[in-house]
Amino acid sequence: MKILVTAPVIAAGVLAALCGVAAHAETDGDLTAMSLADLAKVEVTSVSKTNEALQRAPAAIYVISHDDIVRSGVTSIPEALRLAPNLLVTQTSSSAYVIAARGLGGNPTAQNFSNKLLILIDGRSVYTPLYSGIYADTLDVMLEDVERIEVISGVGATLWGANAMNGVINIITRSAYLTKGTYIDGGAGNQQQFGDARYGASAGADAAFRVYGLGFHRDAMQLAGGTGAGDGWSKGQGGFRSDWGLDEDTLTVQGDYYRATESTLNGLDGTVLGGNLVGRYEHHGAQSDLQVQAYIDQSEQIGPGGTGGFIVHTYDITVQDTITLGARNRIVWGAGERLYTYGITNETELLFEPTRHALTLGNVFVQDTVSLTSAVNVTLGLKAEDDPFSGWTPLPDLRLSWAINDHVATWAAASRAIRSPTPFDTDVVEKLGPTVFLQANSGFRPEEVHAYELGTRAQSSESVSLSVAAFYNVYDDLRTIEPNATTGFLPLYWGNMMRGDTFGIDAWANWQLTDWWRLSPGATWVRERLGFAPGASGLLGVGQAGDDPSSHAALVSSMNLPHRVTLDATLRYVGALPGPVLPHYTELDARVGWRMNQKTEFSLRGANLLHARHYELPAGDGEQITRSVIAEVRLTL
Amino acid sequence: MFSKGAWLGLFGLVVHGICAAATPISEDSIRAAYLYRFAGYVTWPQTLPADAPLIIDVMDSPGMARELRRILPAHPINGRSAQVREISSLQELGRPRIVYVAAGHARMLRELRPEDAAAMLLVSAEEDGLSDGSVINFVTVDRNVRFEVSLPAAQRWGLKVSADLLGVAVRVQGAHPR
Repeated sequence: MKILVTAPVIAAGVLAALCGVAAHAETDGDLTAMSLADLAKVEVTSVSKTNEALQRAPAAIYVISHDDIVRSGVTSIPEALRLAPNLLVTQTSSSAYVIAARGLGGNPTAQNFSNKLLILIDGRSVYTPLYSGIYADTLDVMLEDVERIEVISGVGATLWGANAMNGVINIITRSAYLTKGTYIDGGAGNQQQFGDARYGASAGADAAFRVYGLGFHRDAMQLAGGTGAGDGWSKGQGGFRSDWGLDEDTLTVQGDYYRATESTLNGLDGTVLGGNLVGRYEHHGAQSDLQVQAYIDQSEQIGPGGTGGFIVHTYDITVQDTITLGARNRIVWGAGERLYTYGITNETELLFEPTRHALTLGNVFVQDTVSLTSAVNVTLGLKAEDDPFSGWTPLPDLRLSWAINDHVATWAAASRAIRSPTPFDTDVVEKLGPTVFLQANSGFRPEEVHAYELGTRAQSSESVSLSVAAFYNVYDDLRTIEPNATTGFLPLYWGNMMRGDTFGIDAWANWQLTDWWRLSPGATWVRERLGFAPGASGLLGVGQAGDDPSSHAALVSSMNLPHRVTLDATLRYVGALPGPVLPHYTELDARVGWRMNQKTEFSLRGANLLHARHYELPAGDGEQITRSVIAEVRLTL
Repeated sequence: MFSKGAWLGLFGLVVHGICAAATPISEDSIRAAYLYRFAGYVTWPQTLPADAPLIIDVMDSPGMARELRRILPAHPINGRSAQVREISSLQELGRPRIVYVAAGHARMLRELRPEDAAAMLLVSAEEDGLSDGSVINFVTVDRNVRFEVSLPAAQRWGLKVSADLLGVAVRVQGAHPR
């Protein structure tokens, strides 16, 4: 398979090199006849300089652009997140992924699930409040309508909010002004079949809207020995977004509804369903920018055959104001309040007590960015967060950025963040038959990190840019499993008895080799030094915090070949997992696309091409992920 | 069986076919089209006399001036003929409605002040053009030319910017703390 993939790459490269050009003009029409929104979509034949406009912030931000997503041919958000070198995305089943940044990605064997990221879709928080993890099967959006995904590795608590301990993933969809027209997309392959459709239009002079629907079926992965894992699933989703604008005010209303059916080995199906409605008002004044956002969100899961499940309702309102004071100060302040109500249908051996609860999460924050000189900015921020289990907590943040010259900028940061306790930490009861095996801890404290970062971005020439960030994170009160003091063992309970530090580097580069070929290498190295506090049992060892590879890397190649052919490939390497042990692996995704005309594009994509099947988490924690190939047609009408 | 020569001939034909490429589109041609369009989304505090042309001063960008001169004769702006003037310093600035400042002139952007000139739409292509005082700054995202807008700068120059323009902007300055 390796040869099958690389041969066309080489052949296409040789052909393009012989030509000496790779023209990629995407329009033959009169540019002056185009609307602003259409002009925004016209592709330039050659880009003189990599854009850094969205990456100026003093933080390790990697931006996955609309173009990256569309060209890679990925069909889900977790697969798109593999394009960010500062994230580790691990597929464990047909519908489940573990997403982590900078280590401590959890260890399912020890019931510690990746829980230190904040993930937002258009400002709506989508990590689950039940255990702070991410249900990847609830993350779908219309990928054609994604403007960009910002992936911030490191602490982002002050501005971004709760749970932004090791990173923030911010998925931003396009304004309805930019998605006018009809778009239809369909694909079929050995692992999945899907179809998407979107229609967008103007509504009067100042408004625009779009509606979309998507559906897919993804086949089961494999167990050891190659038998089917029985975890195929199907999903349908629909939604809309409307944007109104009048002078300095804009109003956005958007919503989605989805329902998925997920099979299991025993033949019983589980159901995942949910919906949300988001309203956002922005006032762009001369001295102040006000944003008010409110949303409601419902997320529900019904276990196989109706056993076990939950329903969570989230009601959230945030107000944020940005004020420019004089020439030097830019102040952002705001406040937010979130109400979660949940109900859980307990399983026989996994119970939440109580099964129903309402939790509130509030915050107030202020941040001032001071321009000390035209090249040096200092950002001071403080958020105070009020969670229902541990009360008010200060989350301070200090950032310094220095534009050394036109080509090099450097930044440094020190910040504190927490992972607030969740019902899984405080309310869960696990049984083995009639015996209570684990009783959660109502006194569970927040997990805490003090993070120190140093980063540099350089544009060394017109065609090469580089970003490097070094981090040193000091953790305290990480979750452990402790024996009952009275009985000496059962029931176990969750303690806060692990501490230690991690350090490492995230680095990535963009290299525009020619006007038709770009290479983007990236890698993350993490070293973890964890230990137990005095008096801790040490049960399950420090590995429970994360079965993390010490390094992972990716190399993305994007080629614009003549005759509107694009060739994109992502080679990714993930280092060995220490325990449970899994050897390192390398995998390749590749897509060749041919834009026949302005309206029609055909493509063929292969995922996980180097192995017929491979594990990303060891057997028991994950299934074998299989090689897949898919053919796709996209129509823009 | 084909001979080696026939294979080479066939390969040559394929290469020749692939090399017949379409006309390239430059960043300047897209920026010029935007510039032509922007005037429809911006309101200036003073109206121009009925027969006066709309003047666009272009600082240090022959490519942009060439593109504008190519498209403007056939495409009046808001029903008014437009004139392009190429300038290389602040002193040469006339009384333009629109000024385009090519990359590499951040200092000039910072020196342009509303109190020294009539209201004009200041458009730039600088890495951090909005911080340098520009109202609209072109940025290149992937292979698309996009733009960002500063409302404080628009207000300083007495300009009103329509919401449609803001809707397409990749960033509206001040709107989000990033």
